[in-house]
Amino acid sequence: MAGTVQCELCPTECVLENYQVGGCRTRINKDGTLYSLVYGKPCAVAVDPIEKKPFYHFLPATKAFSIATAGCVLGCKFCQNWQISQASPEDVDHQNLPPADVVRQAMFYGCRSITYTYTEPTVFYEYMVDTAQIARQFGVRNTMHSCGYINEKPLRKLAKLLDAADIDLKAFTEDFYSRICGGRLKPVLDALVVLRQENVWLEITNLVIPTLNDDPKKIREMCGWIVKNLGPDVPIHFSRFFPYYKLKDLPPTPFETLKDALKAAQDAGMRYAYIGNIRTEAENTYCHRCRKLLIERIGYHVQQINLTGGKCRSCGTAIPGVWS
Amino acid sequence: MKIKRREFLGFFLIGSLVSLVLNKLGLRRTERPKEALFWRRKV
Repeated sequence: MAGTVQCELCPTECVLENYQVGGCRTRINKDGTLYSLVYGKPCAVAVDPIEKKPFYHFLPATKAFSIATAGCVLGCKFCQNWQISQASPEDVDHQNLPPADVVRQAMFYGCRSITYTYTEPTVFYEYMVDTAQIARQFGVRNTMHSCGYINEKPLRKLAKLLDAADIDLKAFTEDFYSRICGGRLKPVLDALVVLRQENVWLEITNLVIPTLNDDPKKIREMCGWIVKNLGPDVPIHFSRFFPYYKLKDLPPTPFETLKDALKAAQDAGMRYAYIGNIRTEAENTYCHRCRKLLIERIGYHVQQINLTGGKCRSCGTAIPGVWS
Repeated sequence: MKIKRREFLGFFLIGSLVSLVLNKLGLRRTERPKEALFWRRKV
C-alpha cells in the first residue's frame, strides 16, 4: 500500500497522496517515495552578465551560466517569468543537461559562476546541489537568485555550496506575501539570517510595486530590519516594476518612488543601495567612506572598475563583496 | 538491398555485445527518476 509523504523542502510542506504532485509542480509522490520531476531538465539555459542577476558586489563584469527548470514555490501575481515558473515541467520545452554537462558548458563559455535563477531554484534543489558540488571541484562559483522560501535544514546544506545569493524580499508585510505571493514573510526573513550566518555573500532585491508595497513607512521598516539583522553592508536593489502577468492594471513604478526608497535605505544606514530596471546613476557603486565612484554601470554593462584588491583606489577602504 | 539471415544475425549479435559492454562500463545513459531530498513518510 503506497503511503502518504510530506515534503520538507519549503515552508508550504505539502502533504502528498500517491501520484500527487506538490504545489511547486516539480515533486511527485510515487508509491511512497518523493521524486523530483525536473532533475537535469532545465527549460532555460543562458549566459548572462552577473549584473543581470543582479549581483553588484560579486565578481563584477563576469559571465554567469544561468539555468532554471519549470516550477515555483510561490505564485506571485507580478512574476516576470510566469510562463515557466507557473508551468508544469511537461508543459514547457526542456533539454537534458546533467549536472556535469552544466559545469562543462559553463567552463566552455568562460563563465566564472553558475547562477540558479529565472524561476525558483528551490524547486530543482537536488539538481542544484549536484551541479554545485561538481562546479566547486572545478573552481566555478555557485550563486542563486531566490525568493528565500525554503526551510532551514535544506538551506543550511545548500549554503555550504553557495558563494552568493540574491534574495527577493518582496515586501515587508505578511499581508502582501499572503495575498500577492501565496506565501509568508517570516520564513524569508529567517532564510536571510541563515544565509548571513553561513557566510554566503548576500544581496537583496525589492521590486517596488505601486500601491502594493511602496509605503515609505514599510520600506523604512524593512531597511531598519536589514541593518539590524544582516548589517549595513548588504546591498539592496530597488527594482522598477513593469506590469506583467496578473498585475497588468498597475502602472510602472514612478522614478520618484524608487528615489524615496533609495533615500530610506541610506537613512537607515545601508551603505550600498541601488535602483534597478531603469537607467540612472543609482546603478553605480560609490565608496561608502569617500563617496568616490568605484564601479560605473550602464544597464548590465560595466564601464569602469576603480577597485584594487577589493579596496577603494581613492581612500583604500575595503569594500564589502567578493571581487576575485 | 536484401539482407541475408546471416548478416541480420551478425548485426544483432554485434549490437547486443556493444550494449552489454556499455552497460557493464556504466556508460549507457538511462533516465532514472531522481529521489527528492528532504521529505518524510507520513504515519
